[in-house]
Amino acid sequence: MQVRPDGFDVTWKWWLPPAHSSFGDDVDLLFYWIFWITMLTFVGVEGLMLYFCFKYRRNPARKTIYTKGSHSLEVAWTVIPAVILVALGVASAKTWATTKDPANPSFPQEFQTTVKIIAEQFAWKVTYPGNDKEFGTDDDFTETNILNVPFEPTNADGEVITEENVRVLLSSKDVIHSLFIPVLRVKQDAVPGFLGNVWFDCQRATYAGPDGKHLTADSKYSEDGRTLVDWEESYEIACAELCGLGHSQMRMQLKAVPRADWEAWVKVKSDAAKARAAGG
Amino acid sequence: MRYLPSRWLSIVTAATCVAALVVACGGGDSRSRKSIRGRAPEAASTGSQGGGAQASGVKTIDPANSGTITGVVRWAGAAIKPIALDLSGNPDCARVAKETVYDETLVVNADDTVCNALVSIDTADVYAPPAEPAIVDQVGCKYVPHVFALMAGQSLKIKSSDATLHNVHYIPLGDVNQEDNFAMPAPGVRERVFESNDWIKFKCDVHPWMVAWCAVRTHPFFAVTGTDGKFTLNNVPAGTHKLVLKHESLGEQSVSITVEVGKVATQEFTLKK
Amino acid sequence: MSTTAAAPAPGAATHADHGAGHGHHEMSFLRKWVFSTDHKVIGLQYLFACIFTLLLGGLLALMVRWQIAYPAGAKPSAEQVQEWKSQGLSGAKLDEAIANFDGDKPFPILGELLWGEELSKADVNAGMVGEPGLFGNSNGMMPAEWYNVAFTMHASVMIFLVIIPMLTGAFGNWVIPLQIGAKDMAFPFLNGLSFWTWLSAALILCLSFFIDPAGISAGAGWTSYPPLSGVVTPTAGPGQTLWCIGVILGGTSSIMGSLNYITTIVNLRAPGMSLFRMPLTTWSAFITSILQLFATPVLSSAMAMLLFDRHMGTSFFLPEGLNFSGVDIPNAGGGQVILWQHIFWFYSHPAVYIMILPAMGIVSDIIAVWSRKPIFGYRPMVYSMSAIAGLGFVVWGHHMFQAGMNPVLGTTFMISTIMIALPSAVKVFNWLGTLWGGQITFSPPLLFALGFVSMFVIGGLSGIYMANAPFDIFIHDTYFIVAHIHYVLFTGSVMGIFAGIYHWYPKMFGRHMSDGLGKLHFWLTFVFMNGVFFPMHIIGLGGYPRRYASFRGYDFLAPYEGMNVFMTICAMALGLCQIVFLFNFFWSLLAGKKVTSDNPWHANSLEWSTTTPPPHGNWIGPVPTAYHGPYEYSHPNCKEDYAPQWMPMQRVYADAAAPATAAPGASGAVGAPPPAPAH
Repeated sequence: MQVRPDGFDVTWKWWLPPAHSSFGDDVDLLFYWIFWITMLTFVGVEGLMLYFCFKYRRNPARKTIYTKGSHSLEVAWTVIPAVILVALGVASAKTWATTKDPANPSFPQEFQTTVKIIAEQFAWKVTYPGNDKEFGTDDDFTETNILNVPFEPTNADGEVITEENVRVLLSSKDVIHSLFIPVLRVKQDAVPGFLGNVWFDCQRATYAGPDGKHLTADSKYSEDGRTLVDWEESYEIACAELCGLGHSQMRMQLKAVPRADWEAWVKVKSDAAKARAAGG
Repeated sequence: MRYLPSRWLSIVTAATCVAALVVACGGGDSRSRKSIRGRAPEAASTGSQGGGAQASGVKTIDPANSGTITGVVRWAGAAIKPIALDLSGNPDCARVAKETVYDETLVVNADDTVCNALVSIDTADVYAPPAEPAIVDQVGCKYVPHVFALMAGQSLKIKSSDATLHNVHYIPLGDVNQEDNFAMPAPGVRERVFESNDWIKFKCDVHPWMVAWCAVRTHPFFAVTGTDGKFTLNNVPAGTHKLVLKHESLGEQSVSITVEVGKVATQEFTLKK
Repeated sequence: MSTTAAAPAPGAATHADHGAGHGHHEMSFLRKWVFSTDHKVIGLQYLFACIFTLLLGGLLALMVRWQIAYPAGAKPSAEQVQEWKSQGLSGAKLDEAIANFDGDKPFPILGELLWGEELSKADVNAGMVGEPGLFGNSNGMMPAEWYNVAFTMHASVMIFLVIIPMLTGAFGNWVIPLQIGAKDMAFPFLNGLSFWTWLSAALILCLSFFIDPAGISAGAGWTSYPPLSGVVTPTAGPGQTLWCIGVILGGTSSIMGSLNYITTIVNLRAPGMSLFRMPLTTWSAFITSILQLFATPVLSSAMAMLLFDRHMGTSFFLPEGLNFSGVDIPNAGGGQVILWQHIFWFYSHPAVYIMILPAMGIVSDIIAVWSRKPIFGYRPMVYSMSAIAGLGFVVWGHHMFQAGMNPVLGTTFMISTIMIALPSAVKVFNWLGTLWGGQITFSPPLLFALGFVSMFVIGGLSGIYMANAPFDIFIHDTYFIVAHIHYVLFTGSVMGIFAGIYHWYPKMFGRHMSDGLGKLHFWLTFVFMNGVFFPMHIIGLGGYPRRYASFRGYDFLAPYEGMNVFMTICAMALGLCQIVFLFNFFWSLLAGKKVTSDNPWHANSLEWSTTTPPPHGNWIGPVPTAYHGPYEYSHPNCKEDYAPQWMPMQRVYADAAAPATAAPGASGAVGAPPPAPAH
């Protein structure tokens, strides 16, 4: 059991993990709809079956009902489930479009952060564009198994204060991997030969930093700028597509922190990368 | 009329199918035992390793007719600052690594000598491998030693002392030895035998910084420099040899050197980027 | 719709001759029992071979479960550490105790045989090495690369060597000609060839375990997504190649079989046996065969392309720039990784229905017989099976929601997938309708059939979660899908297989299986299989990814350790209780109660009209005529509660009208020689 200093329990048991992305609740809502529909169906069908088994157990004294079917019943139990299923499909299509369809108005208009992840057997290489926010420049830096992003602050009503949409460009250099972030309801295959993308926003920071705790370049890093000292908590990211014998070891950490902290971290890393590029 | 006696029908069909499967699997079984022996350490002592070369002309070390090569590998490039690796992406490693792990592709000692350079003579002669195994350990999420050498036919004990899952993926750059990739028991030991001269890259795919280099030689005249940059090759047969230095990131150098009986020949190498 | 039977094919005519003169020409032992062309012998060959492969697949499943419950690297629990502390351990001593804690458990017996002697951790830390096993030495523990082999081969064996051959090979072969009144299959030789092709596929898959010294067979999952399977690497070596060849052979066997079944059903039906007088088992075999004939060649071609990629330097599935551990793949370039998924699932989604439809047919027949009722909605049953088969071809994309596809395409696949729940629901409602108002006898076949229906409901409903694209993104490749597929295939299809074995056993072998042991087998199986598979839904909801050799190192998976151990214990028990079945099956062959009637269950379909076991050529004399549908149970005008298909309705009515005089005739259906055909 892992409980953060602010009392938030980051593990969960026997049910869906908490959802921290803006679309997470929509996805979970679909789950709950399906859950209750299927539960009712399950109880109804199994109950009826058990009842029939009991009531119509062999008894020569009772007259057997001779029937070959009922047209109206067939129509009823075809049409009613069809209506329910189509409704479910339509409801799901909306959430699907929000998460996947750039043509949809609820799809993010802008991505405040973009990172590139190239998966390999058996690690995630995360490339950040650095200070200039451009890939392919000297200040890009690459981390192994560390995905740090700014979190998206919300007010007490759950409304977004500042948008922090993160786009991940995703590919692989060997086999197919899959980026699975349970708490964000995100899963996207990293397909070799194809630069895919997936987006998310994380509305719950991995630590609740009061303003005073914001990182500065000198206070929070070890001398060579490599070890995070204060960001201890993280969300777990797993690989969800079989990628070989180390499949179960492809664990990455997601840290969602206030933007100021994140920018300070990027600056340290990016400056170091630039210095290395200039020196070598 | 019962045309088909049920008992016979069932027994015969069952027996046929089971027998066919058992025979086939049994056949495969014996094949596999053979191929296991091809790689297992105990086979090495029977002399079947190393192919026909060993059988036809295995040489033995003759101390009465040999000398010694010694020397040092110096660094002439700009000062190298060790790069500390960030293990925070792999908390398991951060836990088991008792001290900071540094990048080991180029390690320069404090006295400007080069660590982890392989020095060996170039000869086609074949010598019998020693009975005791060579050992490479995975400890604190790095390979110890980082560069090591052993003889063809000698058993290599690949050990893991870490309570985390490593896999060993070795990729021979030569043509004869076979690539392999397997998970380590944590902790545990697995054994392998290589058959011919080679330069083999060992890596752990789970922890990408974990790399080791393994040199395989058919003769015992090799050494790997340590923290003093020095090397010594003992009992080298008298005569002129090609002395080769190999470094994982700096490439190869070779010189000609003459060894006289009972004397020490000295050779210094200088490396830079 | 034609209601007349087609003209007999040449094969049937030959068998009619056999019928007249049988017993006079004796076939050699090999021809009769081994290289047989008799559909019944071939069916039983499939049956016995599949029981063997079922054991192999089951053993692999147990090894998989064992690994998940007891992966290497266990750390002492907090209580254990507390206990050590209370014993006075501290500092270096405590560290040593923790370092030497031995939480690993090798698989019973086999663990040490395959992976060497189990050493204590202290011995390992001291540098000791134990005796190696057959597959190398890792202290008796299954290494991660072999875990991949275990689940890959478990799935491959269960799909290609157990469920498909059991349903289409064993039952399809044995039942179809008898139910439609044919003397044999349309192409008896092709039928035998199909079995031997399948058996060679089975042998090759078995051999693949032994071609590599470490026992590395195929380890890329049964879906074998390239590039993991498409590039020759130490963990996808010769075993993977043999696997591809084995699957191609298995597919070839399926194609031969389905061609045969379709031709037989279209051409060799008995007089009066119109399509809509066929029992649902035959209908389901018919529809399944059509599915197989269309889908399987696609799989074979995919496998061939994969083999070319691996060994001949093509790159159908290998994109440019592939680099494995720093080694460039020379032939990679221009290929599409996703192409494999499209081709593979174009076969493999219909394959899921290939594996469930025949069981649905079997279960329908059994429910009708054991509740003494006509099938409720016979035609809707046929139509819904056809709808499942048809829709099955347009839903494959739901396996690829997370792979990256056009969102509009995703929506299309989501809707089509959701709609496939509809015909499945119709079938369940019709089964309930069949039970309604019947005379239900809880025999082993019916128990297994009811088990099928109740568990198929769970498997079907959980499918709706998977069909829902936004939520599927979360549960895709977690244990939720593992739960779903096992509810459909184990608690569904395998229950259907057991039901079929118990139901037709007396006709197959002339002896009864033990009723009591059958019921015991059912209840044990029912309880433990739910113990294994139901918790998988829960850990799946928690996000537990499938195909993980170890959950150690993940905080979010730690809470599921206890549940995994529970599932593994249930799995071991599930495996053990199959001994009851094996004992019952084999013991009854030798010592089961002999059947006293050719129609012990008072069933209507034609297979019960012939002698027991059915002779070569199926009927002594000409084939029977089907006078009406196969489900005339409890007809109000009949005295008996069944009206066999081979007796004209008028005759059964007459019996009812004059019970006093015609009583022997009414039961004439049982044990009496079959009536002469109408023409």
